[in-house]
Amino acid sequence: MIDKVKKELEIRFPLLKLVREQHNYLHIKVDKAAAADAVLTAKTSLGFTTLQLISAVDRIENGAFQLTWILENYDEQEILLISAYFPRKNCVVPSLSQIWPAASAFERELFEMFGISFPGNPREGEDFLLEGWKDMPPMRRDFETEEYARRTFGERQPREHTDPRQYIGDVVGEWNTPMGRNREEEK
Amino acid sequence: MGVNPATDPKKTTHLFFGPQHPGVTGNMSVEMWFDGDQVTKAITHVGYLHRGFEKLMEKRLWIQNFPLVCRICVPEPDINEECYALAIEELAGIKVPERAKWIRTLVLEMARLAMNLMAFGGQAGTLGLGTGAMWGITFRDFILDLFEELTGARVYHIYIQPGGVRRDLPRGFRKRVHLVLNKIEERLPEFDRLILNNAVFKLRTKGIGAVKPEWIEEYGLVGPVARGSGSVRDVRKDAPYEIYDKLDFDVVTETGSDIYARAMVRRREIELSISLIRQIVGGIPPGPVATKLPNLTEWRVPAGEYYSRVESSRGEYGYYVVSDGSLKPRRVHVRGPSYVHAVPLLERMLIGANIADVSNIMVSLTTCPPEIER
Amino acid sequence: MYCNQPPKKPGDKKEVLQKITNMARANSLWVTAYGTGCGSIELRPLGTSRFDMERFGIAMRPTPRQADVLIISGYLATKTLKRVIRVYEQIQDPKYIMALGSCTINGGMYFDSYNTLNVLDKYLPVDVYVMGCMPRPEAIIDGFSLLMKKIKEGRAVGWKHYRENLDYYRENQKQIIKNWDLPDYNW
Repeated sequence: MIDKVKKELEIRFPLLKLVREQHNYLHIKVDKAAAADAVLTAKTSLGFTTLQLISAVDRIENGAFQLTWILENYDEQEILLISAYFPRKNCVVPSLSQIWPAASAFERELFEMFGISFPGNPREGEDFLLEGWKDMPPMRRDFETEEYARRTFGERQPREHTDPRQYIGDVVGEWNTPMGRNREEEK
Repeated sequence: MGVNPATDPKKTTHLFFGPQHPGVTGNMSVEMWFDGDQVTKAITHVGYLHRGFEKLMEKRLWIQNFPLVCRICVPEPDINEECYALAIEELAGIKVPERAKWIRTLVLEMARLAMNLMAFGGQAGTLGLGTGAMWGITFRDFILDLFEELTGARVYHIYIQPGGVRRDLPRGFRKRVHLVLNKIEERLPEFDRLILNNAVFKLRTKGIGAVKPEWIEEYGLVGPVARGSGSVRDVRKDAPYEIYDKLDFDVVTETGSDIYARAMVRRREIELSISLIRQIVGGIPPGPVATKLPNLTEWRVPAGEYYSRVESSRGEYGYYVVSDGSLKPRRVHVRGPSYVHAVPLLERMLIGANIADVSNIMVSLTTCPPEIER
Repeated sequence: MYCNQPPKKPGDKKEVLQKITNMARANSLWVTAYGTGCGSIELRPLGTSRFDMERFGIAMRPTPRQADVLIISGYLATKTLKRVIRVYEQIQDPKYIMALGSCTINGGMYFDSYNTLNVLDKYLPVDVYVMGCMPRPEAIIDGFSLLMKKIKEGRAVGWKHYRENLDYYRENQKQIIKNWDLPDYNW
């Protein structure tokens, strides 16, 4: 039961905070040094054998990334979330890809999206979702996506008039400008 | 020295499969090395559909995100709305009226039925049995018509909202649901004759694309991929949400662990969905369909974190939603079932596969690339 | 085979001959089977007996070398743009582009996304836009009939425009694709 899991983890690791406790659902926060050990303990001795997700939240106001490992114990139908804060600058988090093959993909995504490094993941740095991305990792809070989109992709100029009679017929299937506006004449 | 035998250019052929290829599920690609016609190494490339949803959701109001989340999975969008709504309801402590729960379950099952019809037919389509694929899509279309009547849209419904659903069932809707179900049920034996009892289908799927039962825990497999290998993982039964605990059903499971078993799971899930929809339509209680929400433009969801789970036709869907008590979500992380199926599992499964079976194996996992890259 | 020079301009045929050719072209539009976005889900019902696009002579082809039409079915991520350019340049002349969905016209709901294009016709010459998110099968058929009309009238000349203004398009494409490794010219 989830009480037992909580007690077991409390004995071995100092719990910084109990985020949420429900029927079959436990979310705890531990120290960053104990995070990987806590996840491994949950796997080996508490039966949380399935890794559901590794997630990160950019807590920019604390100068930290909150890493969350979401584990599932299928036999008991329990969900365990283990969180830890890692410093935001040159963030390094232990990799779990040797234990769960599925962790490798999650870690590659976090490396790309947040710039969190997982030493020990053999495929770290391979392109995953983005290709040739040179800017700041896009999921960081200080990355301004709207400004980036406007700068990179531009905007379509809106029509100057709202009256349809003004614009029907001025450009009909002609490619007279490189912008190639392509409106169809209504007949 | 220094050359990986799996990718040694002297011994292997290097091939790119996709993204522009009719055998690929959606817009993704697999890079493969072949020794003869056996795959020695495979790498999945995703990201062709990356729209940065998780970033965009941080920039929009809680309610504005509903049109975004449904676009994460095209064939079965309601799962995302449900999963996101469940997380918000848990964080904000919203109660859902009983009737809304039933209608939500109805919508989810209809979406599952539509997706399974398409996936089951599509499995035959990759083997050249085009009729199966056509039938699957045609019958899916009848369900889309029902959706159009109920929600106003064919594909993206944006029907589920926190605290209920957007509008009540139209008059005579239940009767039309029964008509469509009858139509599909009538055709099911012919589906069997065309696909499951077809010699070509059997030869090309039995014993091919094995998913070993020990991989289920190792990779975290879910849905038909796990249930085709003897597992009984199904969130509907394990951690019932909405009204699944009131419905009478058994989890579909097969032990073949090959492509045929997964197709069989989908085939039986179609029947299961039909029976569930019949149960739901027969038992919808009267009452309101939505709770009143506060002013949505100034709606602050209390701070907290929650991981909500829902069963989709491809397996378990999870939403990790973090709120910091502001107008917008702090973080929404989507865990689609295709994540593990298409990246680590596919790369593992393809090793040793025949070149002709690659597309077949890929389709049997029913990967949906948008939920990997979002 | 890659060559450095664009091909020579074809000589103009006689007007009558041109009309007959256009008529033939308009009535056998073959579409590359490349689902670049979510709109491709509505292309599949088009093939079934309910909407039946083959009655208009529209068919799906597995390879760009047999096709005339490329459908950009929705938002175009920057990673896909590179592949789409390759596919488009492999299609033999005359070739047409049809773009589905609001997100190809002005970004739609992804106007502030860091990874999707906002104005598609800066990068590829679009002949027909079909609005909606997502466009219904009837709307796509309507788009096809518009394309047919334009071809018959000899106004669907996006491919000529692309060839003549290649520098303009290349410049825009190279702004988006950071690691440009496409061959300089490829007809």
